[in-house]
Amino acid sequence: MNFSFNEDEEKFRQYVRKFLEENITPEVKLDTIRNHSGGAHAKELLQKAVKAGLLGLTFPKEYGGKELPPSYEFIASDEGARLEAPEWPSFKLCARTLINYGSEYLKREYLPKIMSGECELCIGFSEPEAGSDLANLRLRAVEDGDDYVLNGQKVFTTAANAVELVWLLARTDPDQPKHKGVSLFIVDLKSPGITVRPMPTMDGGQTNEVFYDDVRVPKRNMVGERGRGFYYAMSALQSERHLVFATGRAEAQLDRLIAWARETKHNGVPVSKDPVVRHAIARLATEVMTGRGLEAKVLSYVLKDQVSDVWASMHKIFGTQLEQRIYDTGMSLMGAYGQLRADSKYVPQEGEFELMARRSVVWSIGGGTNEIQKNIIARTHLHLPQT
Amino acid sequence: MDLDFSEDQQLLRRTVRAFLEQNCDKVFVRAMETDGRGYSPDMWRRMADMGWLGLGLPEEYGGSGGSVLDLVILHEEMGRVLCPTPHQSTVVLCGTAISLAGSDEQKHELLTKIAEGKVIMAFALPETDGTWQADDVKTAAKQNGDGFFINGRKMFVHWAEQADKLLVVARTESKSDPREGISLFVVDTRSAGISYTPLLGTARDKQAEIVLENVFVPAKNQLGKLNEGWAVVEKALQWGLVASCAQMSGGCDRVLQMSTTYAKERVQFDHPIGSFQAIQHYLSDMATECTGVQTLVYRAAWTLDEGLPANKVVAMAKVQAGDSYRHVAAVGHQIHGGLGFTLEGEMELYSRRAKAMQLSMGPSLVWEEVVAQEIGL
Repeated sequence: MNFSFNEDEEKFRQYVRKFLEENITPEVKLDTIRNHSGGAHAKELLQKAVKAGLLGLTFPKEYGGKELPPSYEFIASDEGARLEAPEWPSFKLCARTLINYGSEYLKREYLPKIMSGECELCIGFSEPEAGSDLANLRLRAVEDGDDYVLNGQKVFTTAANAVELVWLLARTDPDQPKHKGVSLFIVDLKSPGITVRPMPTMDGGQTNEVFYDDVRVPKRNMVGERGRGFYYAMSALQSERHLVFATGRAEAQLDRLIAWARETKHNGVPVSKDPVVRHAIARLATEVMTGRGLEAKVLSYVLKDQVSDVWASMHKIFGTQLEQRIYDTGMSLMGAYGQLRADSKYVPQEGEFELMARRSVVWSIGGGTNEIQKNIIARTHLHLPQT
Repeated sequence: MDLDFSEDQQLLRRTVRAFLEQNCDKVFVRAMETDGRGYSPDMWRRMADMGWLGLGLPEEYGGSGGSVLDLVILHEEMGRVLCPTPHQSTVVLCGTAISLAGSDEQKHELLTKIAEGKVIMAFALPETDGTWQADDVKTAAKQNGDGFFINGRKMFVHWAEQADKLLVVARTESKSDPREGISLFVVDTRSAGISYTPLLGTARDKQAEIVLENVFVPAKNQLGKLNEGWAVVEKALQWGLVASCAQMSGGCDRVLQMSTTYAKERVQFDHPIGSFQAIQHYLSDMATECTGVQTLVYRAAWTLDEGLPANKVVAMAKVQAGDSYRHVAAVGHQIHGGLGFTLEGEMELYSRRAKAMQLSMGPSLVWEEVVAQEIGL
């Protein structure tokens, strides 16, 4: 039994923290909110992060990776979460799949560019009729000579407005069962026929609708086998979930709440001495520690290269709900001032909790809704009967 | 980062589980609720034979050695089947205190007896507020000749009437910091001047009020340094709390298991109710909560075994375990429907104990305050 990381891993953590503290500027954060991974400042950060050796840590050396254990990848994600670094799905969700299933051509063509930060991918999965029921997706890919021709629409393709490529799921075989007739492609967002329409989101950022009108993608841009796209997408999501939802951010925000309570005074007495405040924050701190335990459970399986899906689902549900509670509690403890936005006079803590309350709404929904996570636990962990 | 148990620990768990499966069914648990003694001396003897009454106690004084994590394994299994036993009070709370503070002679005398199953002990710390904190200790011990006279009132002492000896936490000096001036005494339960009133609680476990009127304790039964007993209490309490949390974790897990099994077997509307999403989501949430509690308890044990500062994580484990066990039991009742409400089912055995354990050894509010201090509020 060991709940700690080793000395080298701790050194790496300090290294990552220092890099991120020095390089995540307010401009970068603004870019992150607006475009997630894309945007000029975020791009600059990505390329610096790549040079500093923060990404692709577990990949084979022949593809520019460092073949380090998954603990390093987790630590980098955790520190990134703490300091609100961009999510970098190109590395977390796409590159590994490319390494495992992509053709030699695709690996040669795209991996170096991804690994250097020159090219980034956005995720083109969801559609208006295909959210949790992703297998219901309809975007068609029809064979035509050396190409597939794409027609249809994607929604929630975050960062499509800012990056170079899209990691796209399209239906190649409508006669197959839904989840077996889908293939995965790498598509150049500059291709003729692609229209990106912004969808502003409640946190001041944006995601996008993307329309595909007779868009040609070369056949060799299919990742892996035809008809296996759904499987590739699901397994990537399941094995990377713990990275996307690392507990570092909840911890950092809790620290902010504690700092606020200590610094703020009512009638000359720090708010941190109020029993109601102490009770509320102590509970949140206890829950953050519990979340860390669920995370340790995931990691203990990942580090042994064992299936960790169920534990990752538990961690995701617990962590996202906890974050929402942290921001809601923070705003409540601030009373009337909790509602003020960052640009308002008298706003406490730079309006962080008000903003995070708006940002965190999507986390219990995206990356597999919490309800779907509960279904996964029921089915694969508890073996409950399915209708 | 590795949450595996060693081979020895896995063997311990298998052995304990098999023993309890043989010797601690629900008929026995229910019988002990109305039994005057409340535990089985035969089971106690057999636990001694297995070395479990020496678990966590130093081998040089007859103990079996072992870590807090080993104790967690034992208590998790005991909690799973609601085993009624004075193990935590005797071996963990009192045993640890004696190991830390006892003289060589006291350790030889008492620890050996504990490990051999020859003495039951109760940890007489809590008083009127039931908080298990130093400021609740008003019981006074006054030095007089070759001993002390103790006067005071203890409350919510587990196994007090069934024990042979009490470990009494009393104030020998009045200081501004309530943690100073506290001393520890090993007191015969049948000493002149002690009276007991059983406290009848929802868990139907053995707790009592103890009134001490001029109870004389010879000096040789005073444990450790005079006026410096609280540091020993704190340490023993850390171990005792983690053992209690382990029991709660085991209970949570059993409720999850029972509820899942029931959901698969109970058919309504032509389907097992476990196929309905409301039930599935109840159980998934329960599984998440159980895993959360369990890993937090393991972390607390590991932290103590590593010799790292543990006040925060132990307090957090107590808060989380108490609340989660209570919540899991409530959802368990929902899933079991009418059957869980009757005495035919086992659910109500768990839900009553969940509440009692949440409120014992200091309720959540007390330990939340400890967390608040530890995080710098």
